[in-house]
Amino acid sequence: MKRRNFLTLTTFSVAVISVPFLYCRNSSADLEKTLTIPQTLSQITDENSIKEIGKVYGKLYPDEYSRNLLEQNLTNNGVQSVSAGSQAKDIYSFLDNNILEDFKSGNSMVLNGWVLSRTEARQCALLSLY
Amino acid sequence: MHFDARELPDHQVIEGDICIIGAGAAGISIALEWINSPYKVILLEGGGFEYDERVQELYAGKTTGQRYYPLKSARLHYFGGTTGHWSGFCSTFDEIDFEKREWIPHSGWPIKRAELDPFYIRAQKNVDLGPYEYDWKYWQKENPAFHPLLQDESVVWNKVWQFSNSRFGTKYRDAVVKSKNVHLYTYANVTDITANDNVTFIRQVTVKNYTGKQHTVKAKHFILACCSVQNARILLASNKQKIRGLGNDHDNVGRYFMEHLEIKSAELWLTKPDPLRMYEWHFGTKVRCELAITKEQQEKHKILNGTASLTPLAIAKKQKPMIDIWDTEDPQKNLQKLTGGDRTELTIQPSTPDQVFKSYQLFTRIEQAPNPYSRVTLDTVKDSLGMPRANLHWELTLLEKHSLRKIYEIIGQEVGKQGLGRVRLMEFLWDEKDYSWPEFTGGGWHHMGTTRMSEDPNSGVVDANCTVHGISNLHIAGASCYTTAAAVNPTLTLIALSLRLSDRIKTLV
Repeated sequence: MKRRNFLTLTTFSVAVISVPFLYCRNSSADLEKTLTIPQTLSQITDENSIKEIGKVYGKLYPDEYSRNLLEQNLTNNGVQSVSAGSQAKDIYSFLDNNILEDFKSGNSMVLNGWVLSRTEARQCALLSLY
Repeated sequence: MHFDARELPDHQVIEGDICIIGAGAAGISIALEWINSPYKVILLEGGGFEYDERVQELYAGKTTGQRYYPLKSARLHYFGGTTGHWSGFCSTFDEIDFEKREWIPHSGWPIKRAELDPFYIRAQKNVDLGPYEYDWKYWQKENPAFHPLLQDESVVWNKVWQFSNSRFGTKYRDAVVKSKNVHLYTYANVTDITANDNVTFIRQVTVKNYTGKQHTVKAKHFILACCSVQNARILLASNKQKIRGLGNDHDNVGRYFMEHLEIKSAELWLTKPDPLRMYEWHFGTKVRCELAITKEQQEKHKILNGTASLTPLAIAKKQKPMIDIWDTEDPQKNLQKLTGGDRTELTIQPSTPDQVFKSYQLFTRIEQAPNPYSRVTLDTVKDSLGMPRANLHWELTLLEKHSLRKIYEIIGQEVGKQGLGRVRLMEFLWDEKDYSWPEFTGGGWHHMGTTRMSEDPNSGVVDANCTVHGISNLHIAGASCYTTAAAVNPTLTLIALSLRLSDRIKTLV
């Protein structure tokens, strides 16, 4: 993904969160894009840095380091799931909740110095594969 | 009363009820307690009322191990001691600091934190602090702009600091000099302590100065109140009767030297800018907070006690590490470097209401694990008064770095959990297997632990009352008595301990 597209998408995704009912997604391409944006990190650091974080995750968990597996893990937390047919606000909400639960349960890790939830680390990894 | 020992006829014998060796925060605090008492108090100060290079030079010594400040400039050697240029950071030790922590070898004081409470209240007045209140909610009433970074304090809490601008040398000079029963002798450096034949009781001390004069001081009780390096040095150098020195039958004097590691460690990135006034510090600040780790979390993760201060990243990035600034033997020159621009933090003005920041540097202040190999010893080289110079070998353990890393993982998790942003550890903390320290690792100029407190003479130099094991009238005041160092600066606690010691000696004389 080009930096311009990433930033555009980042800005756009924040707008989606702010005005959740204005926009819906329904294609698998849109789902992938949504999953590749760790929202908090994307407000703090740039796309390349996020990709670098993702590569570190990939080295630590090589068995998981594929688009399919990462997407599976990101869309299904064992209790709930989202799919290409889900609305964008639901996907973001799902990811936000998973990130919060990760931090609450100690399911976090340090990647390139960043203290991240497992979910957003997977998002970084997914982005690094694009 | 004041006497300049340089002006006295040579070989005077000075007698009193108690003799306090050292007129810094500890020694002066004790002396004040005895003003207008029926006892004659001899207060010995190695320097005068002003900086004197020939006296300061007596503090010079070698350092090995972990990079450290030059010993000569690490403390001030004149009336008032290092309060002559301290930055006045004061806070109280936590309960856990006094406890035996199984994951920290040699931890556990023979006293509990609660025993110091009444003395903290008194110490608070000595350094002109505000009310004895260390709950941030109390201070929020005075400063509505105070709000905590983290709402949930069950994991990371807000430790309150108060700030003093007291210079003991100027603040208490008149009270001491005008006192009829406290006799202050300046230019009176103790170079030797002499005990009775079986070394259970101190008879006298020898004082010298650079004029070549020598005097003798006799008293019923002696209180060694120099600083951690010098207290150990004097005990070790007083070796005519015991080859290892006084109070050193079990080879503990000088060992367990501790400092506070002070080091930039991480960055806090917020999703929404916040001025975080509650954590702000500049000259003139009365109260602020630092992020601290709860007792339960310290126990869970088996870590040392440490706190994190917050400085806007834009400011912090302009700051040189203290260890690179305070690098000459001249404390006055170092201070000028510190306040003259090398350390912007010390010259910045209070931020204006419209100044908000999105990113902060997290700066650690963490206790050092007690380590017998971190120690003060005597050099073969002697100073101009004939005393062996001090050598300092500052040595850390693996626990410091493990704790530092874990502290920021904990803070990072809490920041994430509460949806505020993210924390990024600095690169030297990324690799869990890397126990090396970066060049910018510094200390707080806090010397502690060289005559540590323990009920057992095998593992300490002083007992729970700060009396040297086996020597009934030799007492020690100051941070050298600390068994562990806590996360906070030592001055308030060392004054509290000194007041406690003073009260006890009143029951003995």
